[in-house]
Amino acid sequence: MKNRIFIILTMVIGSMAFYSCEKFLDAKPYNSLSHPNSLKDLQALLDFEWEVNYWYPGIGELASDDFVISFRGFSAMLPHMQDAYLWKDDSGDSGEWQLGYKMISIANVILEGLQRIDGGDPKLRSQIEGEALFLRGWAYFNLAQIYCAPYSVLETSDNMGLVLRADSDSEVNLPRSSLEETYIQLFRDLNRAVELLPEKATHVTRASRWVALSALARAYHTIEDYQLAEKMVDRAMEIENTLLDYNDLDYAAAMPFDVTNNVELIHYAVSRSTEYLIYDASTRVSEELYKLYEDTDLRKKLFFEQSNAGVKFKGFYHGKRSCFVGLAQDEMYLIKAECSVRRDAKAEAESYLNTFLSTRYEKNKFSKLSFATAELALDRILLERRKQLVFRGIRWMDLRRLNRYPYRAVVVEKRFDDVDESKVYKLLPNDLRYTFLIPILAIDAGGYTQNPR
Amino acid sequence: MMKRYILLVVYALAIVATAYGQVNIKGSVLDSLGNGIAKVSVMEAGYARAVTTDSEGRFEIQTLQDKGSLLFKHVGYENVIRNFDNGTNSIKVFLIPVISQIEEVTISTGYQSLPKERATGSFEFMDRKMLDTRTGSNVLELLEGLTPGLQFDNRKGSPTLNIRGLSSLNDVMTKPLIVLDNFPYQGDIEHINPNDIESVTLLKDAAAASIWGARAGNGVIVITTKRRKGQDRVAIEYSTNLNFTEKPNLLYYPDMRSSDFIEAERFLFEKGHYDAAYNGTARTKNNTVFSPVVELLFKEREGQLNSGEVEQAIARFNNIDHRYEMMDIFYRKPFRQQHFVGMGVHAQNFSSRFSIGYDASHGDQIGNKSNRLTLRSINRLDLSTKLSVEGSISYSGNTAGRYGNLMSHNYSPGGGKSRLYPYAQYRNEKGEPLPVPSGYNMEYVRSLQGSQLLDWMYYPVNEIGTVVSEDSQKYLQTQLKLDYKPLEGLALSALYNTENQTSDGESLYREHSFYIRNLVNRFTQVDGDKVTYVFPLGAMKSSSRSILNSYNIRGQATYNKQFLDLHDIHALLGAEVSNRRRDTRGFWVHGFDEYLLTSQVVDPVNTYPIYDGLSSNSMIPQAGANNHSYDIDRFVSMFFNTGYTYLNRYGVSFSMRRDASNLFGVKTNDKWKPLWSAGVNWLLHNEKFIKDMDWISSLKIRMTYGHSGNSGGVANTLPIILHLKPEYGALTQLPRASLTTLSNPNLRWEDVRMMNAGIDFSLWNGKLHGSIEAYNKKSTDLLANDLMDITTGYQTITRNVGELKGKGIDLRLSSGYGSGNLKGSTTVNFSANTTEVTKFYGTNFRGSVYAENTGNSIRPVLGKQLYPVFSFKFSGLDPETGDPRGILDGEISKDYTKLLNDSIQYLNYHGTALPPYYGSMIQQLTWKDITLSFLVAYKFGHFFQKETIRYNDLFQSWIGHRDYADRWQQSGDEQRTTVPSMVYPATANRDRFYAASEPHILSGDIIRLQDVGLDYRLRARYGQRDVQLNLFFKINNVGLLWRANSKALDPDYDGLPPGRRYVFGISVNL
Repeated sequence: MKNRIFIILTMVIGSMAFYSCEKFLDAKPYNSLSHPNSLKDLQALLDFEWEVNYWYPGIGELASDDFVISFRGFSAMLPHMQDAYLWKDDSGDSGEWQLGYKMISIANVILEGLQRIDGGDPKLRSQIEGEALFLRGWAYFNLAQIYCAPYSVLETSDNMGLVLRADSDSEVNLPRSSLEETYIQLFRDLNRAVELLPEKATHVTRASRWVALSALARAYHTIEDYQLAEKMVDRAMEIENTLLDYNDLDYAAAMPFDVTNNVELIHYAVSRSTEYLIYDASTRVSEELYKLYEDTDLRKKLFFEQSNAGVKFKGFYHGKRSCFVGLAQDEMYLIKAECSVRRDAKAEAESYLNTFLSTRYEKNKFSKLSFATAELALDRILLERRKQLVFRGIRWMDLRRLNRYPYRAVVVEKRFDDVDESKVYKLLPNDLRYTFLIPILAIDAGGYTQNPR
Repeated sequence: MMKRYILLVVYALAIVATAYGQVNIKGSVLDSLGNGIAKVSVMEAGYARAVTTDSEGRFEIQTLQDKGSLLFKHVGYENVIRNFDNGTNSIKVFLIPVISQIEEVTISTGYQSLPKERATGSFEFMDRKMLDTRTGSNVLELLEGLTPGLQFDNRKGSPTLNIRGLSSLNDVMTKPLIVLDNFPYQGDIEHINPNDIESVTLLKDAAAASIWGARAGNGVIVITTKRRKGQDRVAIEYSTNLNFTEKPNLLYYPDMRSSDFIEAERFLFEKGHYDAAYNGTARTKNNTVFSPVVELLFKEREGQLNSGEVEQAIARFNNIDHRYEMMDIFYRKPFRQQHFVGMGVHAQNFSSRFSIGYDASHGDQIGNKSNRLTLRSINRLDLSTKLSVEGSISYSGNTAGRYGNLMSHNYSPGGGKSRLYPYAQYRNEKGEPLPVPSGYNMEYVRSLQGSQLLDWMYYPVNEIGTVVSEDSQKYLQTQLKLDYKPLEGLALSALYNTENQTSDGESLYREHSFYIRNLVNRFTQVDGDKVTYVFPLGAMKSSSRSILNSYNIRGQATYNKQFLDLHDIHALLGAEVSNRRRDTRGFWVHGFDEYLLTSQVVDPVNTYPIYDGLSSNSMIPQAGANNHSYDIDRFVSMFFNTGYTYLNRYGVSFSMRRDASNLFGVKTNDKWKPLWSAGVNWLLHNEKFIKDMDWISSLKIRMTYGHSGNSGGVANTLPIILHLKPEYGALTQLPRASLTTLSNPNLRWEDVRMMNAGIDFSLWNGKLHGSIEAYNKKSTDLLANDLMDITTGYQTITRNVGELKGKGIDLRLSSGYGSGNLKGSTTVNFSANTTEVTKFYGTNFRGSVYAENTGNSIRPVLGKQLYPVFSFKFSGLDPETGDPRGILDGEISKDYTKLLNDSIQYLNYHGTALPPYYGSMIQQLTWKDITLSFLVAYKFGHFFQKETIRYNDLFQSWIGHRDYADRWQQSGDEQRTTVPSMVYPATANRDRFYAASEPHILSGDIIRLQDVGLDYRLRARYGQRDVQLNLFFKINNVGLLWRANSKALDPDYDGLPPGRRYVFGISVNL
């Protein structure tokens, strides 16, 4: 009897101990760790600006012709930045691939989380899904401008696309898709985001229908689907079409634009990877670019400042010394004007261009433009793109897009004025180097086909 | 109160006893060679009265009883007890030196104490006497050089310890477990007063350590504190010491000479290096720091000064080395004092010990000071023959203060520069403070003097004491142990341990500090006469607090029994739960008044313009900076350990343990890790055929095999996110989270398998004794951050990527010799260890990753040792240009980018940066009461990389190196030097290649005289008391006796080697 009591007691205490032991070991080792298990967690992932808004690819800007750098500044650059500046392939790493794919992983974690998490406010659910789809689609678009050959709806392509990741697993095991598949995927993501997202977001760092439509406008414009691009711009402008009047800005300020006063900002996206170049004392605005601005053009004083060492850029659209590569209203006006003129609606194009330019030139010194031919109007619109969208990463896309037309093609030239001035580095139109190589680290681990050289 | 009561009872009993019969006994006390030993105290057991032997070792004693026993005691010898009765009149006693008694020590594993003789595993035991040969403020510091198998890696400033090499690939997971009196120690090691330590035991192999299971993969250090035991009386110990250390010798740094630095500056000036910044926008220029020489050269160019004036000023700068003045003003000789009193009492069923220690010191930088108070009380009460209670409580309070933003050798002036020019001056001829640049162009700051702004100059001398930091810690540990012995041999114990450590940190930035003046000025808005201060005037203060709470509960049963003198069994079974929680919080206040304790609220959200457009709009630093977080570690463990000895000769042991911890994202079943070990030993000296050999006092052969582990790294099936507060400069204040880890479902715990074989011996009555051990280690499933496909967005992921094989030898040989007044003892420790990576699935990086900063990280490479040292192949300087040349595809090459990216297989592999052979020799010589001792440590077989000149760093950041003076300047120089020519513009990759190439790899072999000590012992009697007085003088870090490198570098330290320390001390035991 005594024994039996003992045994029962032991068993009861033992099983209680085991139960509480399991609970004891389930304590979180760190208070702020969690699995993404609630809508709040998913929204928190989307609102982490540092990972979601700051690391858009920026080496296209380096490879373009907005600025020049002295050899002294060049030698202090990281090897992969040097490569990008002179279109070389020595370092085997371009940095941007991983940063872009991190956004894609975050988006996939959120989309998987939505599958796992039941219930919640349906509005919030669709907003989160829309933001995640925007993040993924937009990251694919930006990566494609660096790692895929230029693409156009006007011709067929058998070029390679990106690795289209459908999950967030730590093993990838996927080949590269075709270029067409890549664009199909990114348009699917962005269009679905348009359906899911609320019209406007509460913060410039978040996606909204307005943001997604603007993104689609840029994307269709880049692949020369001007019809769809214009449709998207129209829808976006229905939501918001305010321009910033540059006459109201203080051109003496060290930084005339600021995220709080710049009503043209649509979505906040920055390329932190290239920003230190902007700090470098030897970075100057290319003289060819600076020459394009007339004296009555307010941008001449708002974007640039003179120094004994050359012209420096100060027109950072978000008011911080880094490369703003996000979406803004100025680009939408220029896309609208270009799309209009390309379908021969010259008057409409002139109207948009004039509305736009009246905020860029000194008051009373700007007279409305009208053009004899659509071609002349297009010339001016493209010139205004060149002058307006500087240090924004857009020049790279324009170079790739327009290079296929010989009369618009540009040979990009670079030289160092502090050593061996005779040596000129050239990037010819449609050069294979308009597509960056995929980093060796990815090729080695994933066995992907490398871009041609 | 209780103690005093018991004392009274004890004394009363002693007085009553004197009434009985007496015997007169004569005798002599001899050592093993038959020489008499003087000053041996002879006392009747149970009584405090004693006599001492004369110089021939003779004594005479009147006993108080007619039957009893005599106790013979002498420091350095084992106590001897002899029975007497009224028939006894003469006794001859031989005393055995303590040093030959090491085989009979009791070692502690933290779970149980067992005689070392029985142990199968590998233990190193260090008793108080050994620890006393060194001085230091913490226990671990004392252990260096005392024992084989324990390695100190001092390169990074604070030592990193490893036992028998590394068995993990992760820096965090290579540390040995530290156990203090039964439980893993969670607090800061500084809280344990070394004077409270009785002994330290190192558990080196799997059998010794497996009782600690999943936390013992890197070995265990068990620290046991002093308890009162022994005679029935009060014992008091007192010790004090004063430490004087030399001033840090800044001249050790291989800095560039001022004349060389100025030469390089003039070269750059000619090349127009400074023109872009000087002629740049106002913002660029104002944010760029120019040196005084460059300022002079610009003035000369602009005609403000003539060349005579400039040359005169430069000639003066040429002769300045700022390090002299810096040592004078900002550094001083460190000093430390330690005081300690311990008292203990022991009675039949009660023992108690209480101690107080106080340390105070000031460090090598001005304002740097600390002190520590430790209290410790440990009491044991036997409630009956079966039940006893032991309780202990210890407290330690530390405070440490220092000045922040103090000028030091690594001062970074900002404005693009990381080091100061070597001809800086801190005071003029009249002793008035001089400014140095800090963040801005001096010319600009000078031009602002007299404006509405606060003074924007940085005077290092005036800054002393303007930023004050103070950290204080309070640590409290309590332990309660209940022992119940229901049957003979069986003991049930319950243990409870709590630790509580509260750390407070405060930093005060006074209103007149440069830090505050700078912030106020940056945020000042001037509009004509209207001046707005966005940043509040007043001090700033940060406060933080971290609280650590932990508890352990353990229940265990032990069984020790001998049957028929044939079988000897001991067994241990138990379970344990542990919990540790660390809670951290902190906040900042602005516009603080340090006397009224008022502060102002600042805007944590918006950005404000910066004065004169010096930078883009910024948020107020530290505005709204407050945090609160915690982390929890939990373990549940079950363990079993048994040993069996047959005929006192043949022993086997077996041990098993299972651990589980609260790893995140893991199902409970995956949290358990079982580990086991087994061992055998053979006590040869108990065999008949050995017993006959007189010269063998003891001989034991042992062998073990087993597993221990490293916790952590278990698969998680879902991604892990970390919730964060908005980062500085964030646009929104929304809640946010970072995706830290993708799902990682295939991870296993690390496993360390070790085989150990050893021989312990003692020959010729202990004149020569020691042990030799050989071991073999295999660590599998090692976790490391492995490269993954970056198409996931992440570069590394934790994976079980490797396997290590380690093998080595530990050897300890001691001998005691001499006779009469002159005696000596020598101990030699030697350890050899190689740890090679035998499997590695992780990806290999490009060559520069291994060759740059080589030897400073674990960096596994297949077939190589850990901490590998690599370098680029070097084929001399180009005779035409002085460019460094490497070898690419078998050809001489100057394509530095390609050379840096070369595959690792084309690099030179030199070996490892951790010494594979190391050890020490401890020598003691005693003449009468004076002992001279020294400890010589040696390390062989490893390599290190020295720094050199990097022109790009010199040009951009003012980081120079004395190698500059040896650079190639003209054809033919390549015969005498490997230092490349100075070219403009500098190429970072050229510098990187050269710095990581062959000429900079040096052998790390050294022989160091670590300690020298002189000890004077005095024994005297005052009344009933034996008083022992000990005076000592020691020198620590005496210096290198020999080094293999010719560059006068101390490879044990990356930075400045510690200064020589002189210790004067006294200790009294009564």
